[in-house]
Amino acid sequence: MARILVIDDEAPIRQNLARFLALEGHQVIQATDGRMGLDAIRAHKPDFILCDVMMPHLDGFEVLAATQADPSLRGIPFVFLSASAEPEKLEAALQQGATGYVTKPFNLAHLRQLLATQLANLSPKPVSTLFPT
Amino acid sequence: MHHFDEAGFSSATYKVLYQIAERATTEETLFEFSGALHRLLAELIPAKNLYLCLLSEQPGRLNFPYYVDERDGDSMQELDVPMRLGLTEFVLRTGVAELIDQPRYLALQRNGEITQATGDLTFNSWLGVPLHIKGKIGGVLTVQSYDNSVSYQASDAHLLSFVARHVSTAIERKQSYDALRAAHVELERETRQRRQSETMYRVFYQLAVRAAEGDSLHDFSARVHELLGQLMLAPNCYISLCDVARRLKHFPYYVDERDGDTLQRTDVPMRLGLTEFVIATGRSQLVDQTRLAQLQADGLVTQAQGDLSFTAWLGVPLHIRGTVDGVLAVQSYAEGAVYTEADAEVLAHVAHHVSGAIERMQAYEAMHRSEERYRLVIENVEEGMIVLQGEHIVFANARASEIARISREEFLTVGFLHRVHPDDHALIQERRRRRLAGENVINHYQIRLLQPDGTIQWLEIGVTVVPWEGQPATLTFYSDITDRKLLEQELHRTSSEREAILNSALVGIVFSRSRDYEWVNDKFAEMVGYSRDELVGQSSSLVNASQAQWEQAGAETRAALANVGTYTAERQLRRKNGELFWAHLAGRCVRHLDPDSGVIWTFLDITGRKQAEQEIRDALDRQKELNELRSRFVAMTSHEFRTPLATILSSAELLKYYGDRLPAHEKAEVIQSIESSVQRMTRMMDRVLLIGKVEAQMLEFNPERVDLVALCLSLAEEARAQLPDSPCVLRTDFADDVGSGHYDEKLLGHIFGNLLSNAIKYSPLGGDVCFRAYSHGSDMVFEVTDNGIGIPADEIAHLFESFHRSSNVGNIQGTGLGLAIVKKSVDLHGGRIEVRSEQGRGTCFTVRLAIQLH
Repeated sequence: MARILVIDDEAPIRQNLARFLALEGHQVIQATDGRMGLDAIRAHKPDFILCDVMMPHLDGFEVLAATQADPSLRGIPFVFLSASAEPEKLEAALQQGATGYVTKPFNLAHLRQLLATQLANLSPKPVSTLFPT
Repeated sequence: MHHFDEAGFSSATYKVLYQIAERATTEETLFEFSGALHRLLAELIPAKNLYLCLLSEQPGRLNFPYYVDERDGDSMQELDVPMRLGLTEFVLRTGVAELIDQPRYLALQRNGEITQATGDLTFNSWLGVPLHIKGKIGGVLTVQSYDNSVSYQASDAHLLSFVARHVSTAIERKQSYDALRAAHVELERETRQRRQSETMYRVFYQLAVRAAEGDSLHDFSARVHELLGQLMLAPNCYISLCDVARRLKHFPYYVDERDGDTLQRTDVPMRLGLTEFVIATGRSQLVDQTRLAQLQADGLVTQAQGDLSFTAWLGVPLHIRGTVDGVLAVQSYAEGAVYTEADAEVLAHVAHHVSGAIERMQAYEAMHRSEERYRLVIENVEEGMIVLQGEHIVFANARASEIARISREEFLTVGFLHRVHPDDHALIQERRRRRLAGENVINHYQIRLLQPDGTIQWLEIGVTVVPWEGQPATLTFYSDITDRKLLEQELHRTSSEREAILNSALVGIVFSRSRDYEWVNDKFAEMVGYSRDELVGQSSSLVNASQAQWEQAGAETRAALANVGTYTAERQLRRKNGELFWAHLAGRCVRHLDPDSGVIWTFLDITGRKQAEQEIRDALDRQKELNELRSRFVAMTSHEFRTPLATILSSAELLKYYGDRLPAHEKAEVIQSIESSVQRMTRMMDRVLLIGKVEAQMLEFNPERVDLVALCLSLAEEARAQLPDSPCVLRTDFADDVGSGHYDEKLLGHIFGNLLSNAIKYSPLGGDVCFRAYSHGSDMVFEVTDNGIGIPADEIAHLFESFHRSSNVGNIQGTGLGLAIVKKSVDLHGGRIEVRSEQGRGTCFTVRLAIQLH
């Protein structure tokens, strides 16, 4: 079981993710925008972060940058869930320290596999998935 | 067969001997006599080779006055050779006739009698007899033969001894004649000296006459030389003039029997020669071989040139203009020639005349040259030149005659004024009077001549007062400018036509000087909205957009005109009414690269073109903006579709894989989220389709009866529902008179749906969103007000354009289509939409639609 933080301003998606992760046996923390997400990271130091890109207040990249800037948070696997499928965004994300970039709409089975891999690995390797490609 | 007397000679021999004796008494030279003797002797004995030897006056030396030898030639016919142990000397010693053949010669050689014989010594037979002169042995007469068939005999010796007596007589006679002649020469010399002073005066007179005759220096020198000969021994003579400063000398005259006249040349470097020695000492120098040797030994004369074997040399200095500038020298190679102090005095006297003549000649030549030059200039100037003194023309050059068509005689007798045009008479007279009175009168002006054929000739004249032979006179230069004048008149005549052409030109034309308008055409005046009179004389700053621009353009323009000669630019100018317009202007200097000579400008009004350019630029900018917006739209729609799709997919998978483990209420929520997502996608689709219609002008307007309050309330509710997480409070306020009317319900839905959802969406921090409706006059007024992020003031103009989104939207999602649809919908209703906004404070949209009750 892991503590997983879900950051997304789109309530239906965030809620579905929370349901899925809970059903998978994880502890889920939800944040509705970037700023709240960053607060939650600092407060809870989750084992895994799933983060939207386009959000009010702070966008996903800003959250990632803040996380990477903090040595105590840098090691947390950080996977983007993004509605933009542009390859430049994916590249930028991985370059800036994200451990994964998953495009919406996503496949739950795929997400579960990704989680399993990254949680099992102490030094997670970046994984990217574009779906549909 | 010969007949011999007691001397043993035949009569034929006597006959020849007699002839010899006869020749011995004539006044022939010894050489001539010897020649005759040789010929006659050859009739008696073999005498192909004969020579005569005499003791010299100097002891121990010999002369050979005659020496003819088939082998030796006459090379040994020399004077004054030292005696040695030769054949001749042997005879002189023995004093008897000696007959020598080769065996005897060898014997004499061996016993040391003859060891130094010279000449060809391979003779077969040699015969020498002594000559007895004044009782002593004084010489030897010799014959010899190289022919082996000829051997002299005792009889030959006898005969030759006899002949020798005659030769002795001839020699004795000759010697006494020479003595007599010497006495005679001495006498003559004394006589000459007596005559010399007379001759000298005559010669000096002739020299003086000659010097005044203006001969060239060479001719004069030749004459001097000739006259000198009457005064002294002067076969050779030269004159050297020196440029001491430049260390050069030249020889205007050089005649020498040995050197020829090869040294008669100029620019000979000065060196340590005899000429230089005279110049250095500044006085006469008498030089003979002894003195020359002395001077050479003393290092005073070491570089003398020419034949230096003279017997006597005399040089005297030439004093020209007070300095020693040259040398007059004579010399002689003749034996016994001697110059004396008296000669030096005479030569110095001659030198004085020569110096004077040279000075005069140089002065004359200089004057002549300068006069020549002066005359050359005067006669070849392009202008006519006349000098007027009193009432007379005292000088006129050839060109003056040529131009004015007045002969030189006519100038000098009648003058010039009679040819001047009557209208210009008074002017000329008046100016002349005032000029001579010392007044300051204009010096350059134009006058007319009236030629006899009736033609008028224009002259440009320049007048100055000059002294002429000590008296004031006026010097007038003139040139013919008739052609130029005619051109000017022609130009003047056609200038009105030209102006008409320039005025009908389609471009503005301006002539300006120092940035002031001197002339403008009608088109330019029309262009800038001033009259031509208002422009002429004004500075060009009058029509420039601003003073700063005018000043900056001035420097740039001037630089271009001065460096390139032309200048073109597009510049904004200001019309009289203040309106700015674009003009293309091109300028060119009147005189190439000289802006001060004036500049011709052409102006073209290019406002239309500038506007078109601006429109194209705007359109391009718009296109660029549009492309940017379109790409943003694509990204946006992608996001807008992917988000609900993510909800739908995740919901479907949750139900599929975890459906049995989900509580019922959650299952219902998941299903509900699928429905809303589908609706959201549908709305999105509608919008995209709608904007497609809007862009294609295909949006339909179908008014029908609409309950406004009910519609507005439901729209408000829908907007709120779309953004359930917003912290905004939505209030509605509809006046009582808001009832129903004829509107297109769909379009009203677009209008207020968008305005309301925007208000909520762009108020992320919450606040009130107020939806009001009321009637005002003939309009129904709707207001949507929020306390949101506002719209930047400079973007309001583009607010209703498709895909346009304000720069301050941040991460707030949107398509940039809503307000474009709103605007189009309002337009279709014939209504108006206004917006008031303050960034950071909020926005208020006001829509006015005509009240349509039916």
